[in-house]
Amino acid sequence: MIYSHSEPARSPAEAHSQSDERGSWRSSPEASSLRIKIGSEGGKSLRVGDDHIAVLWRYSFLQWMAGRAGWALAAAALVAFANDFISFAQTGTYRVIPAGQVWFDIHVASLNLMQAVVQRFLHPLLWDPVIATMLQWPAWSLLGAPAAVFIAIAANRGVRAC
Amino acid sequence: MLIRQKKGWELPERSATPEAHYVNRRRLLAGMGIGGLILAAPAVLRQIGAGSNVSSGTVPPHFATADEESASLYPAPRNARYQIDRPVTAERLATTYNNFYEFGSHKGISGAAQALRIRPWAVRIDGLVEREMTVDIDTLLRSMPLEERMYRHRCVEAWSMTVPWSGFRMSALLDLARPLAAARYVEMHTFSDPEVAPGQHQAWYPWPYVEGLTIEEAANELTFLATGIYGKPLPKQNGAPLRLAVPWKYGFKSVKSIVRLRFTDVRPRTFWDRVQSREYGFWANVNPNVPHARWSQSTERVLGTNIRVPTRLFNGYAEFVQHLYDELAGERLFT
Repeated sequence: MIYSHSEPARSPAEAHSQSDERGSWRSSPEASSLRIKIGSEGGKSLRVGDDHIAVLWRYSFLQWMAGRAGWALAAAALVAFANDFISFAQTGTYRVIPAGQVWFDIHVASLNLMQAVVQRFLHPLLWDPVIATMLQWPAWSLLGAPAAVFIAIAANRGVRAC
Repeated sequence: MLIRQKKGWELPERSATPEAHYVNRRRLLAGMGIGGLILAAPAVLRQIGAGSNVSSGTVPPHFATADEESASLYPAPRNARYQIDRPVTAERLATTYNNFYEFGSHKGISGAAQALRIRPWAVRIDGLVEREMTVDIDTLLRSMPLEERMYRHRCVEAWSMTVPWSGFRMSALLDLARPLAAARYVEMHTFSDPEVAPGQHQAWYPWPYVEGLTIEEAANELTFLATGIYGKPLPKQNGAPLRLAVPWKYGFKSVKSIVRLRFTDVRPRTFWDRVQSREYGFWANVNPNVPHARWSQSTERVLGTNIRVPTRLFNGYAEFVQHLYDELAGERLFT
């Protein structure tokens, strides 16, 4: 993550004195001696107060990402639910389409690879029964639950930096 | 007049998220994780209760539950025609480093597969045959010419082993089944029992596991139906009580725990052909010059060593099988 800083780099002492003059934030000498380096554009050093900006900016960006992911998942959940509903309307019996079936139909190679990776490099029981059980759930529910959470995160406007 | 323009990051105190909300957010995320675990808990407990010890590594004594009823038939006399230029793989390795997809994708199959019940066990022979039949495995074993053969085994995952299989040539089974002239393929099915094979709960896979050979391949002298290994009955994790051994093809062709042989005039849609035909096709003959989609097949790791050796065309059995494919140009013979 990169953002620009309009002021030239200064020593910790300079930074500390100027921030006190402006009175825009409070900073202890110990804190101002902490410096972080962000971005690849010149590797410009930032004062400790800017660390807060970075966190807020990052939080805001993550919220934006969560919103996009949430709505995408919600749309997929809606499609899955509509598919179930159409099937019900046509056959008269409600037959759940499990999430695993959807994954299998969309991209079986990744499903197969994921099982091998989880079982061989993490733990066999993490796939079966934990993930395998979750993959038995209706696709709309497995997509809908994280969609709701992501949208909720995105909708939280309590902390907005910009 | 001094006009002070606030920067974007200069937030008023009222914009700060109340601490309680911030803490609650963490609680919500933690709750989601715990909730998932709780929902999956019955299945986890069932798995543990069933005695699954896939991860403990304590399971084998690897012949603890082998088929005792046919134990008196082994060791079978060695067929000296099939000589091997490599050391025999240690028995413990060959019976613990297994793939058996019905029980998962991991290498703890030797523990998980102990849930399989192999007696009683019936084999159905049907389709294009003179007379369909169902034969009990012990009756079948006593009517077949048992022998021992030393074969190389090449897995598609680029490892190999050398094992002494016991069993009988498949051509002897063809003599028993008497396929009709119209039969061009033999399709072999593994058992289907999700109660003992947890992988079969994943209903999106096309269970049961099916493999197939052409009639010419089935009648080839190398094609072997294995019922034992290392002079003993076959352990469950190796495909007891009846499995295929076709040493010139990748290991996934050698279907395990067979319950049905169906003779047909249509090429079978095999399990892996349905799942990922681009990587695991019908023919699957070993060829070092045709790589897998994600790795090279030019060499193989010899199980039990850190040595990689060059892979050979048809796994070194070209003299026995090359002629089977002379007329099949245009087929994907090596995937």
